[in-house]
Amino acid sequence: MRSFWILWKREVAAYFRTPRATVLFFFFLLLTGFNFCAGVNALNHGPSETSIVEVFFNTLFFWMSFLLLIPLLTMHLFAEEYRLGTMETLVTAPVTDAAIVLAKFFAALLLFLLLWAPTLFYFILFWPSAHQIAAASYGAYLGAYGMLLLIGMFYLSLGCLASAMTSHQLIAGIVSCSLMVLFFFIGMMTFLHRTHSPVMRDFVTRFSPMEHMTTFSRGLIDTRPIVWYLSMTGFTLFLTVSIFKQCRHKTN
Amino acid sequence: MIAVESLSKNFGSVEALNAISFHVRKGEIIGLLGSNGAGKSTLLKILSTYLPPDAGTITIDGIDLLQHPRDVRRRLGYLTEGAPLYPEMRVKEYLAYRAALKGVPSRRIAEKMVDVIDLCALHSVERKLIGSLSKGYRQRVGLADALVNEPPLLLLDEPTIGLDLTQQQQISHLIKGLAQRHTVLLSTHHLQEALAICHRLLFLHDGKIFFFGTPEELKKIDLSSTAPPEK
Repeated sequence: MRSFWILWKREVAAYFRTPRATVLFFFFLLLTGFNFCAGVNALNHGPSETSIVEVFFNTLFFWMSFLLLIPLLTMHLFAEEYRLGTMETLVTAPVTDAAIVLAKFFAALLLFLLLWAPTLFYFILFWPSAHQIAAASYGAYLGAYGMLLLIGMFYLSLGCLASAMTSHQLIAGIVSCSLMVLFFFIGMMTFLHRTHSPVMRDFVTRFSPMEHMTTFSRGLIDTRPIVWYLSMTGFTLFLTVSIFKQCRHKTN
Repeated sequence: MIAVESLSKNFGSVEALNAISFHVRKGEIIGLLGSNGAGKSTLLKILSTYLPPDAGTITIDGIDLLQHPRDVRRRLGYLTEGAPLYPEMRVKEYLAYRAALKGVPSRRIAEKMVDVIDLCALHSVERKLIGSLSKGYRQRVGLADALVNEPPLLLLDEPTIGLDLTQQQQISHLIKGLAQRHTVLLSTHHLQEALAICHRLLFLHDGKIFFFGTPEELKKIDLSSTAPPEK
């Protein structure tokens, strides 16, 4: 456990020692700020049953910034260590492979959360400026940010998996993008094949992150997506540890 | 300290190590010599637990390397070829991180760092970014990293490669002084350097041990009558 914390602290600090975190914060807040403004403008057109929270978490800009963010946070995690050669010194220290993988994953998760944290202020600022609350209940905030965390955990684990396989950051980024797109669109397959039965359509949409976010940002909490994302995160991290064991001395 | 029996390692059809066996006593400095591709780095990578062997047994300080790799790692300091380091970290910060990672108790980290900074003469650069250091200083930081947990066994993969003559002499002098407290396995291309600082020399050729003995024994044998071991 001690080695996990030591590794985790170094991984978190590494984001801030390079311009990576600053650049990410700048462009990410620009994108999410624009997304929030676009949401407010959309609601200004007339009475609407949807809250600004629901709009914010379900736009194209939201998903675009979400999907772009994950590879940028994860592609360097293992690939950069392979490239620099520091992986050899790291794995020959008395640490377990699982501690290395988990430290990198949780460091990326912390940065992911730090990047999203300022978006809470958008909703806080919404109240004095619009003279109405951003969402009808606290459940909407809890649901939206909870789902953000769950999808983020799963996709970050996919990013870790991709980075553990190669010493090229760009390849890691492309692989993680491909894996995310695969899981992202899995719930939208019925749009491509309209001949599917309603039962099939209902089954497939249960895996759609867009569906999950829509439900949760209304404040409706369903345990099935929670179990799905947590178990998939656990499985992907397990897979990452296994692949890391095999790849760590072959990716020089 | 090190007992290697019938150790083999293949990379596809290439035989990097072919059933080699040797023993190293505590406090010895062993020079590992051989041409490029002879198997020196592969041997060090296996002894450091980085690479798994295909066959054979290795015991380090009485511990089976294959059965208890983490226990072995606690007992070794490893300077990898080219001393790869994190360029964005400062020297002192990096050494503190490595000491903690290697299990040095928190209350002793500062004391250990002072020791290795003294030993490796890193005072002038201790607050500098690693990325801004010269190759010689990077090698020293790598060596300080290998020494920071005071391991009984040191594996040094070409610690003087790419350094100028003065830097080579400084590093060689430093390694020679380590024999009192550490067993050292030193991979090098420089025969003169090995003759000057090593107690015994181990020549590898095509993955096999070509010669293993003292510098005096080496001088007695006629190398030209057998396969060429080294440039």
